[in-house]
Amino acid sequence: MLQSNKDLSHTISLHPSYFGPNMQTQLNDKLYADVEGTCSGRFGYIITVVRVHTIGKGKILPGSGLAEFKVKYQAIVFKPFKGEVVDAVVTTVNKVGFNIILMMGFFADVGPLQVFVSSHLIPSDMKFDPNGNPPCYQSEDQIIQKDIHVRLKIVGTRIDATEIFAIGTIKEDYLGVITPN
Amino acid sequence: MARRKLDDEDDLGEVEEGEERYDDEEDEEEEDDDNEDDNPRPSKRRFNPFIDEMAEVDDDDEEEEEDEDYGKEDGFIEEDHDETATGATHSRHLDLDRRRREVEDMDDEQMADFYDKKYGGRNRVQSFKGSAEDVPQQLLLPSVNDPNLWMIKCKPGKERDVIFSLMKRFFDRQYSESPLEIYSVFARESLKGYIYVESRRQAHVQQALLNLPNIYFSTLMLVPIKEMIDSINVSKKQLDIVPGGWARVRRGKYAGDLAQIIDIADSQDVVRVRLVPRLDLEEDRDDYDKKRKKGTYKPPQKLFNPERLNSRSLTSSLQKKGGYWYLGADMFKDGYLEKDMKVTGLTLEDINPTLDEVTKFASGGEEGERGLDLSTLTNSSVTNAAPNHFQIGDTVEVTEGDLLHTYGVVDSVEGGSVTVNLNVEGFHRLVKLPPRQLRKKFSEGDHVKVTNGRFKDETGLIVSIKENVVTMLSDLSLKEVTVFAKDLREAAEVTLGQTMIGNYELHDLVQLDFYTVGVIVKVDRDSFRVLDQNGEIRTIQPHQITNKRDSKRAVATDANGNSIQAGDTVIEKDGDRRQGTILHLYRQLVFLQSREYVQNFGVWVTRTRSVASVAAKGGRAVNTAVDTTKQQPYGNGSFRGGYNDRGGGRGGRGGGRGGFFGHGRGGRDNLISQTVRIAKGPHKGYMGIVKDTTDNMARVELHTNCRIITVEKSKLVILDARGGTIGPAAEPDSFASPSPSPYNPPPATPKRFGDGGMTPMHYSSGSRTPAWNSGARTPNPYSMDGSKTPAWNAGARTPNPYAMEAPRTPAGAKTPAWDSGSKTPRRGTGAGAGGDDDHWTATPRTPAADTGRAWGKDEDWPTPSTWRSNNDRNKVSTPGPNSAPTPYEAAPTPGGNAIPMTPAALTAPTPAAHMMSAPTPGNYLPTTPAAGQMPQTPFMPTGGDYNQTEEAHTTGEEWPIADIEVTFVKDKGSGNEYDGGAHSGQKASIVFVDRAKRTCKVRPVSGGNDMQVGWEYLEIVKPGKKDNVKIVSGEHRGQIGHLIGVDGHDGIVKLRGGSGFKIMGMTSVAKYTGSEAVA
Repeated sequence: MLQSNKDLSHTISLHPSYFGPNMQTQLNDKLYADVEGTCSGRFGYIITVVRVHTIGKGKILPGSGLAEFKVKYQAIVFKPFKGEVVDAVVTTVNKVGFNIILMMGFFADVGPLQVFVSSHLIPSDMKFDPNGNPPCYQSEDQIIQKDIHVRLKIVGTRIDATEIFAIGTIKEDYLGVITPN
Repeated sequence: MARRKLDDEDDLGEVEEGEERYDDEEDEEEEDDDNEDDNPRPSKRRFNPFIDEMAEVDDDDEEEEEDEDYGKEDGFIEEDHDETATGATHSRHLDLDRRRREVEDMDDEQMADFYDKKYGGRNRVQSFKGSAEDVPQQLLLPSVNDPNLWMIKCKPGKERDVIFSLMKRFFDRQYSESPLEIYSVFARESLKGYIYVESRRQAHVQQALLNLPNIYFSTLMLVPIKEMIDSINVSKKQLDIVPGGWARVRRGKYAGDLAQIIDIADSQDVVRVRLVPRLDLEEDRDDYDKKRKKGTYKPPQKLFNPERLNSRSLTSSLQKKGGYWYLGADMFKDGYLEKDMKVTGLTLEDINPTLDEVTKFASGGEEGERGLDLSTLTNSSVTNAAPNHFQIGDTVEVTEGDLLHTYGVVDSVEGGSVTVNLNVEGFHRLVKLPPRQLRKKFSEGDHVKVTNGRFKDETGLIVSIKENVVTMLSDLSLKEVTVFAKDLREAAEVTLGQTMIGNYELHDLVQLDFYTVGVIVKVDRDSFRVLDQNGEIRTIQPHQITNKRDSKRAVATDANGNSIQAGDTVIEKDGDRRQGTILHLYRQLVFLQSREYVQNFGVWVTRTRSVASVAAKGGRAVNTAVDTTKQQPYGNGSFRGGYNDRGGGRGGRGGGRGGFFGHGRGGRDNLISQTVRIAKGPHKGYMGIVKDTTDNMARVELHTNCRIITVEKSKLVILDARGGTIGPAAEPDSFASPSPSPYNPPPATPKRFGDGGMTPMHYSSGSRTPAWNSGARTPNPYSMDGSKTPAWNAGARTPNPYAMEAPRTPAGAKTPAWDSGSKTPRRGTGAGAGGDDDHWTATPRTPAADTGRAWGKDEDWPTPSTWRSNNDRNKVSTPGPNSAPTPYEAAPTPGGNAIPMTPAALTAPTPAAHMMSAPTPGNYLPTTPAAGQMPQTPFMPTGGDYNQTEEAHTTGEEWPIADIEVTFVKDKGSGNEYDGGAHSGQKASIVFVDRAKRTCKVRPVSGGNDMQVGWEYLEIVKPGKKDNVKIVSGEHRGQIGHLIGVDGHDGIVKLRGGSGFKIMGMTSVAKYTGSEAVA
């Protein structure tokens, strides 16, 4: 699923100095600050916290004095899967490196997710035009350059603990430049 | 290899018999075939004595067999062997299809019959195409029933002559009186000067060889059966030479170069290979020849291009003949050198050509970089994967043979073959296949890891697959890496290749020399690529790095005056306007990184003033606030305030070390030029001066002999000018890796208390009490909020209750403990602080002050009784006048007298936090031990602590309980002894307790019969330290545990299943004799 509401939990450690009347607010703020915009390998990107279900009882950590609160909340998450077709905005079209041919292709953003489309996965009729300003991929009817919207299919993801990276393809039917309307 | 088959029609060799069977088995329906085989001719044809491939009996015969079938079907004449490979393959396919259909049509029973008929009752088997696993090779090995093999020396080089003359002799005498009774003769190319003869008896061999020239007759020897196989096997390799295959040149100018085999001479010992020429075009031609002979200098590999030959002398000798360019003796075609070489001059095994090498051959004569001709790469010998390339679980594709294009999963790898669980149209079948027929199969988007070669250990996502060649996008560099499929395997985890050597990791800021810092941008096998502050890339060995620097806390201002720090995203103000993440800040420089730029591995350096924070407007402030919230907002003050507090605290604690910042900022290690003493190791005791340091090592010039040695910093002790010790040079936990958390209790506490000259320890128990201040400090209850009370203050503070009364009262629950005499160290925190306050306010005197007239008269002195009624007796044991033996002496003035007299001090030594793992809570507010988060209020975990059980069991409580150790004593009441004192002093274990009769069944420890003994004659044996114990009284009665230690009248017990420790009166614990596990 591309985007979904997901029930998650997060543990917050709070310094004793925060123990007091404002603690709930503090905890909420901290939750937002901690989780929104982060990425976990398991759930993907946490886009936004929809609501906070419960804030557990604080448990004092022996030795440090911090209190630990387990907060359950619902959030909109975004996790890309292989085979998914997504719309993206091109951020960079790559150049050729100084001495060696490095990578050819372009990067596109799907919200927080960065997707790389290799030249291998670009239809062969699209040619790289290094002299274009900005550099672009060009075919008879399409041009791919920065800020162009493309529809691509994710062919692989690499999911780290804190980051997701994907590679995509536009070398299939109905993929490629889309015109926003 | 030349093996001569000497059988004829009359002398039916084993092979022939085998052939016949083979035909039976293979094609049972083809009766005509069988009929033909009954006629000996075909076999003679197959084993033409002049061309024989006996060593390859299995495969080749098989193919011949098929060819023959094919030929027959098509009406070819028998002798026509000139069939193309495609024809063979085609026939094989047909055959396979047919057989598969047959197999599919059969039911199980028929199938069993089929196999039975096929394999039943035979000892020698011809291999069955496509199912090597069904016919174990072992069955083909020679046994004692087979003819022996004899080896005899001959003149080197004359092997063939000898064999031919032997063959001649064989035919000559074939129909004579004495035919030669030998089966075969052969020689091995690799073993010069020997021939082998196959025969049943030695006499037959001798007879056959008699009077033959060039033979050393006396050297005849038998080849052991085990070695027979080896003596034939060797030749196998030769047949691996296939056109299009790869080899390496062994000697000469091209030594080590990859060569492609184009053609094989009939003699099998010379091949024509294609090489990338190494021509020395700068030289004149005369020299060229000489150079080649010398062979010292290897010109670089370069494709031959006649138009680029500038040198006149070279061009003059250049000729073109039929597609070839001739230069001297060398022939060039399509830019490659073609050369006839002896097989012996080539290495044919373990070639493992790299992609680079192969690409040179694949570029088709042009110098095109990417014109990879994949048809050459699909050749099996390129990707000839050794079995160890395959791992269990790999998905593989069959690239050769009948099972072409089928997929499977590697089931096991053994020796030279791989067992694959093949999926053939839904059929799952284990098939053993040679690795060269397999290829690892991946699909686009797979996450893979390189297992071999230049990119070893990098992981990436596959972007394209072309046959054997896989292009993947490396996770680390985002470069596209092209490798062979055989060098890949699926990877679950992300590894970026090597990212660490020693202490240094990718993207670390490192000090190279006094003036230079750099960021590690690439980690190679044993060196780093470092981008220094001038933007240059250097290759650095780990030992050249002085130390690692930390810029996590560095803050700088960007072009807009906003503060930036490591981790922020910034954009360049000018130039390319590149956007990147700050890796490190160094003075006015900022090291940036972005994946989108490839130069210098995505890292570059620029000035802080030329970048602007991307989130400059508002976003950043929030960010920092968040971070610090987590880290340490001290009090409710600002971030800065808290920060400074901490720094101060640290500095103080570090004993003048100069705190954390001094280290982080210092370009040079403080240790340099210090006088040190080596505290450990072979140079222990030596003094010297530190000359240089790295992260964890120091070079020390010794005073004694001016030698400079390298010592770990941790082994150094810094000395002052007079040789006095200042302290260790490196503190591993607190200094070397400063933890962001100030809560670092274990190391901190002893230090602080030690400094203060205090006694934090409850010595015997090992636990620490924050509140046992013998006088040095006055924990200030007013500085704390809530329930933090340093309870046990044996007199440090104002002893006069009256003086303190007013301020104390509002403090409420914090007051109970300051009177040492009254054995009322505290009340439960929750248990009615209010009520207690009432008492305290109501009674403007301490109990102790009043004892003179109050003790013993409850009606005059309301407090104790109120306590007893208000509180759970177990929780707070107030020494009532009755039960506490000694309050009188201790009581008069709380501060005046010493603790030891009070029962409280003995039996409940440290109410607070006994045995808690964290020794003291207050480690960073030096004046208040209670500032931390531990329950500072003296705290009594259980009620057992204050139970005066001494009285309990003597007063007749039912202490006996099974599984404890007792000893026989006099009855205290009557003075009698059990059994007249016969067992006095003996130890026994209680087996059973009879409450009604007040007796126990005991079993003497020393052995003997069980006895019924009255309780009065028994006494508990006090357990010793580390004994297993059972609790005999109190609320824990019956529980078992482990006695950790003994403190006077108290025992420290860890109960089974309990998490903490309990302090029990020693009278309530007994030695446990049962067998249950205590831990």
